[in-house]
Amino acid sequence: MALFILKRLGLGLITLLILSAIVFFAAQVLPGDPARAILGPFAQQSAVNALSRQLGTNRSVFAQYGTWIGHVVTGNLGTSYAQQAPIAPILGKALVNSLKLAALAFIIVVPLAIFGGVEAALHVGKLRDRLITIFGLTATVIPEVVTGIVLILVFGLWLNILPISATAPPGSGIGDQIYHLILPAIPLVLILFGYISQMARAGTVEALNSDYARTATLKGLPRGVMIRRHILRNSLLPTITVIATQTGYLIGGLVLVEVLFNYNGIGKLILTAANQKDFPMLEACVLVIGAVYILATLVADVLFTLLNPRIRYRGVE
Amino acid sequence: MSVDTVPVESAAAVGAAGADVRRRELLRELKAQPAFWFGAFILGFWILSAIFGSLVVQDPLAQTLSKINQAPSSEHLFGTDQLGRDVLARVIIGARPILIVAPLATLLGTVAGTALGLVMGYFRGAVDDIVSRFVEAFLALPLVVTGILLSVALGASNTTLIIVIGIVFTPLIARTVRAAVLQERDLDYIAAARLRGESSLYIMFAEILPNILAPIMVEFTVRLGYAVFTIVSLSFLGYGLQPPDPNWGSEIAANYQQVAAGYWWEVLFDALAVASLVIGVNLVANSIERGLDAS
Repeated sequence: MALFILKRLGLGLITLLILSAIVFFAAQVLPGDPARAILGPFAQQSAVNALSRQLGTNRSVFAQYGTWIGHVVTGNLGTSYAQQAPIAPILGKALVNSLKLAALAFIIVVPLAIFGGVEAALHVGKLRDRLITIFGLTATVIPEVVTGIVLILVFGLWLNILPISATAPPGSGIGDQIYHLILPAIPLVLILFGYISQMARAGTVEALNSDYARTATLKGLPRGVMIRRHILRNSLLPTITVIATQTGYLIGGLVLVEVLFNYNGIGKLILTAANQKDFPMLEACVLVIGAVYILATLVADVLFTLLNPRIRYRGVE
Repeated sequence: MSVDTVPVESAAAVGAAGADVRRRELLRELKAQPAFWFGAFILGFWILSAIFGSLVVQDPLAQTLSKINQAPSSEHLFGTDQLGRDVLARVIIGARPILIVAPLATLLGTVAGTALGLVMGYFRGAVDDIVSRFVEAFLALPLVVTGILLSVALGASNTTLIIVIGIVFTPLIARTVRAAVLQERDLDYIAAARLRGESSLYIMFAEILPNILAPIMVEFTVRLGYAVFTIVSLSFLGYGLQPPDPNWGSEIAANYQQVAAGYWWEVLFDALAVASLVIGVNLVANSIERGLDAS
């Protein structure tokens, strides 16, 4: 068991290291001279050279990568070109904001999708199943921008019951913050609903067809008790994995939702950094996103193992 | 093939005959599905709009500065935008770049992903391990983020967009193809081909590939939907298709801040167009997937 976690952790670290190399190469090497990019095409070559020396970008790519990754490991994410300030605090603040939005989306979607999936599974092939499945499949494929725009029009403009900016006025309480985040959370909820409910549905259908479910029915257990005690525990296992792996997807959605609803999270920070060609900031953001994803899948794997008695006991033997 | 190997019938030949039967079965399955017809109808509408739309609608670039931000009327069915351009024309013509870039990008990803998946699945061992790590590293990033990163690195243009989506799709498709190859590689016809002394290249592309075309076709159609999703999203963020030629993502980006002023028609129709296209593509993709499962 411990060995399994260690092995997964090791593989995760290797993946992260490769990711850092890809990110560094894409952001630092491909776009050309950063000093030239900052100073513009009309700057004197001597000024560009001086800035290159100051930024350390006149050294070899490998030396630059070594310095960068060395700093990253010790928690120093570098200095933003555009804001002339250390990256870590800015990034940290944005990440917290994004987590608030993501958390709200998960709090809404997880019970909803599990309920929908189980409900569909209990009525397999019936109208209710068809409706839930079609709704899930459709909601999953429509871009967040599209659902976001429609939500803004309907709830923000025509019904005028929800704010269309995600950022609550400074100093507002948690209730007000959540109130401002409801509309931005819904596009994320819609995308996630399809995957999670499909998984819950498949797990429940499988459990319902199992021998132990038939035994429970045959020994006269009421259907409600049978579902609660025997079906749900088994059917929700794969759902947990999906919820964790969807984190990566969620962050991609965050970029769009945060831009659309003007919310200062990591997604909007990435776009701003890209627009300003603020490469250190862009690298740091992308690396943090990758790390969050790798961590989430790691947690999913470990949780799955801990919750699954078949794997848990085999590991102990 | 030389004369003395004739008795060992090539899997490519068997595969070709089998593929013909399977294709007919698949078509029969598809024809029976209402979802397929509905999806094909939507897709057909947008393809026709992209090709012949300019014959029907007004000039999408013509500005009438005396008529900016006008609500839908009989003259402009979908209203006009902030530069006085006809929104209906921009929505109809806006299908064009999306329907050019999405299939090309998906095709690039499918070809590269298939080649990579064949190599990974066939050779296994060190090649597979190393490439798998890279694939995983790539998959740790959401598509949109990779898209932004690569677009910044390469400079935003339609060509970049095709390359970016192609690159991102490559590992995703490679993973599916690899799994399919693993199921085939230990079968008898591969062993027979090895005994005949065929090269690895021949076995991968002439023997295995024809037998795993079904999952590759499903991958292509499913990814096509994702490609539209990604193009619209990246275009909205400014890293996809470039204006002034209209496309739905950029249209929403250019006009969504006007929504608070009540100009809903400048974004709603584009949003609905995107929704209809992705739903159409996905209905077709799901039908093909189900048809292949059934046949």
